[in-house]
Amino acid sequence: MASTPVSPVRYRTRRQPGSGRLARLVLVLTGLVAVLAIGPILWGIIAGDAKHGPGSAFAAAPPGTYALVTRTEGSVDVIAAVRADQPANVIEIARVPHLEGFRTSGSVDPAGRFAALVAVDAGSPVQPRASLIVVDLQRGVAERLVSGIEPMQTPLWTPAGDAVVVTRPGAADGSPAIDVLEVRLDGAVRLRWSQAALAVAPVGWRDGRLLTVAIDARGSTLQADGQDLLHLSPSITRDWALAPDGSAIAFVEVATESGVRYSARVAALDGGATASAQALSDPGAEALGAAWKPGGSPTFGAVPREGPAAGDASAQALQAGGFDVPLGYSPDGELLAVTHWNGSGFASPGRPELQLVGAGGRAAIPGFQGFLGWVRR
Amino acid sequence: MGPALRSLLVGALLGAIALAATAPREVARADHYPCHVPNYGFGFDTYEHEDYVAVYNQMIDLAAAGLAVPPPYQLPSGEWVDVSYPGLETGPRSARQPRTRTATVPPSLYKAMVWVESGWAHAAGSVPYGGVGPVITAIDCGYGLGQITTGMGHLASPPALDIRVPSARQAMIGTHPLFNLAEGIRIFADKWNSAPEFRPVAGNGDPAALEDWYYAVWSYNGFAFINHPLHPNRNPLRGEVWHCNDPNAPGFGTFTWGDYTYQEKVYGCVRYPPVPKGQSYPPPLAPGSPTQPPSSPSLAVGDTAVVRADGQCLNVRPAPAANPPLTCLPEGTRVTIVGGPQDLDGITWWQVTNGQVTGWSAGQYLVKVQPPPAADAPVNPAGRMWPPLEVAMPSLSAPAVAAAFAPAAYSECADRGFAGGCAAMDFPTTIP
Repeated sequence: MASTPVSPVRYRTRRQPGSGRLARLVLVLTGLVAVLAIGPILWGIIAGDAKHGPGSAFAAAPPGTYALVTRTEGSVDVIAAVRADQPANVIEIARVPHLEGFRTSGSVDPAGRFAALVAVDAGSPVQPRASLIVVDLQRGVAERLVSGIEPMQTPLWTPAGDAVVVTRPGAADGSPAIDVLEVRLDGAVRLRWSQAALAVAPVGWRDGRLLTVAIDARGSTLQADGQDLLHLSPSITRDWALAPDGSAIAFVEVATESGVRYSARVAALDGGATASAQALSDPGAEALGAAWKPGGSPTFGAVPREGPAAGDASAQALQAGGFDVPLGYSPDGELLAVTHWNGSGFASPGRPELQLVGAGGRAAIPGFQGFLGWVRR
Repeated sequence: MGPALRSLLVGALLGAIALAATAPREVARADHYPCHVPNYGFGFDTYEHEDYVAVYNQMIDLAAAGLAVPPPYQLPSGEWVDVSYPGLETGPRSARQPRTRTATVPPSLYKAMVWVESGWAHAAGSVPYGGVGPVITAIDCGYGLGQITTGMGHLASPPALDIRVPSARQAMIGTHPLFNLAEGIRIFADKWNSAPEFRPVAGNGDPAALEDWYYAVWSYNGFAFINHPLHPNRNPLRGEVWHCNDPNAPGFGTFTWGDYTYQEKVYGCVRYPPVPKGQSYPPPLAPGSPTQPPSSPSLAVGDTAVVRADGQCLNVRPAPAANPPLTCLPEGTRVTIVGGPQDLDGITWWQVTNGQVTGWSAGQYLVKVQPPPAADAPVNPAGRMWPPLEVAMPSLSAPAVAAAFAPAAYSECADRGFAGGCAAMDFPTTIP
């Protein structure tokens, strides 16, 4: 015998008429919340720039020239911006975790939109492994692009700012080697080349070719796309700085012939001639750090400081003792970021302090130690 | 399923989609991988001695003297177990003498090495002292106090055993601190004995001279260029050795663990031994009085001080206790004392300046910056885990030593797989 089925929906509808209105209300409210949540994303997609998400405090900062700096707090590095004319006013952008006892190194892209960081975030304290982290300065978001790269290196941005060059331990023909990688912002990794060397440091670009310094049995050699360009020194070199026009490279030579000495050097790239840094080649003088003033000459941090010397960072507005190790000029060349050491020399350097040096004097950036570069907003 | 519940689920789904869309592709974080992927490490459990300072000191003393474990022996399974002390070759390259067990490893050197490797822990950090739990294991399958990796992989098990089952030797190293330390000493001695055939010779090859162990210490961490003292990515101002977290040692507060080579870390802990976990370092000795620490430093006008406010910032006020504050200085900020003190509301106030702002701050959050002691200043031994020893690092200002660290010397050595002994990297002893 057939019977008329009773719809459970109708049954519940009849028994609980009030909950139906509540359900519709909840549905409308949740739908509204969902629209509010994904609306900005959809708008960003429609507008064509999905990276305009929630902004960092830096995104709302007033226009100006900013130094991007870092401070290590245990197992985290704080990435912050300080305006050049207000260095005590710190704008925190992001926090990047790493193994305790290490600190990040990094650089800012040419447009001042991203910072590339090398952070030791894997392995063990005695066998550390690093990752390439990119921080979106506008959004304050840190993303890991690739792991297993060499610790302590300074990543190099492509001129277009769409990729970062780093190195990682590799193997060529079964022997230890160094891989030179180009990592795009979408995470795609391109192996540019591998070479047998003790160290390879990306230092800049010239005519579309990647310049690196390779350290091997010959000493230090400037290379372009992995091919020898200029032999810099039979020694280890460090603190390389390519001139803004790519015509020369400033660096510090770590000579070992008569005890370890750190000497300022400048090499012209066109003719292969190597010249000593002006005014810093006196016997007994040593130097660390190199930076090019836009349109000008290189600056080093030299000791001993015996009167103002062209090319010595400490010659600028330093009345008290100590010495400066230059880190980088602001885009307009008005300010030089330095690590100021209050000691008497390299053997007794004293305490460091990050400072901005200009014609009007110098200002400390309290609490910060690392310098990533300059950003103009 | 009621409409209300269904609506909530739909809303939650939409919310989850929204969250997924806004989440970054891969947020940076510190990773912790299981070791020895894909085989993973052995799941050893061990005991962490409650009186770890005394027990591990004694164990290292025994192991370094070659007295910790029996000679090689064979198990009924047929496996030979050998973690015994092999003895040391002695003498310079030109007059190397055969191994002798009367030449021993300096215990302080291996104590410092174990501190660098594992922090004197045989069990994982989750295991309390006096408790049982997993052995401390690194990503490279380094086990226990000495972070032993040699022969600890799964493929090292005897073929007769299941690959997942450790050998007796592996089990002893993974579970018992004494066997672990004995194996560490055996490996360390092997690194020493690899000279002059596969490693350079430091000094006169005298095992009693701490400095002569320089290349053996380097080799314990892998004889890699990253530990080269002139590596271009390391700050040359870092000083000779790591401060081993001694707040009174040079470089503390400026340089960190990662700034130093492996050798500099180990020798730093020989010179500035740590104190037991949770205890405070002794104050530095007063100049000219090697047994008496100076009185507690107090602030005075003209001093440099640093903000220590338990991670908080320190208010700088226009006058003592006045509001609102002018600014709030971050932890670690250096200031100069320019006025004061004034006592108000039970607080001692000092006028300070950081070069940007001048105002008044509570003195209890300001710590006077002491001039750093000389690198060769005597170290206060009170309360340390082992006695401090004076040790000299290779003097890079000496031409004969500096030449040993030329890139050609290391590169020609590495290019041959270190065969031939890297004679160009030999350097003379710097201590008479």
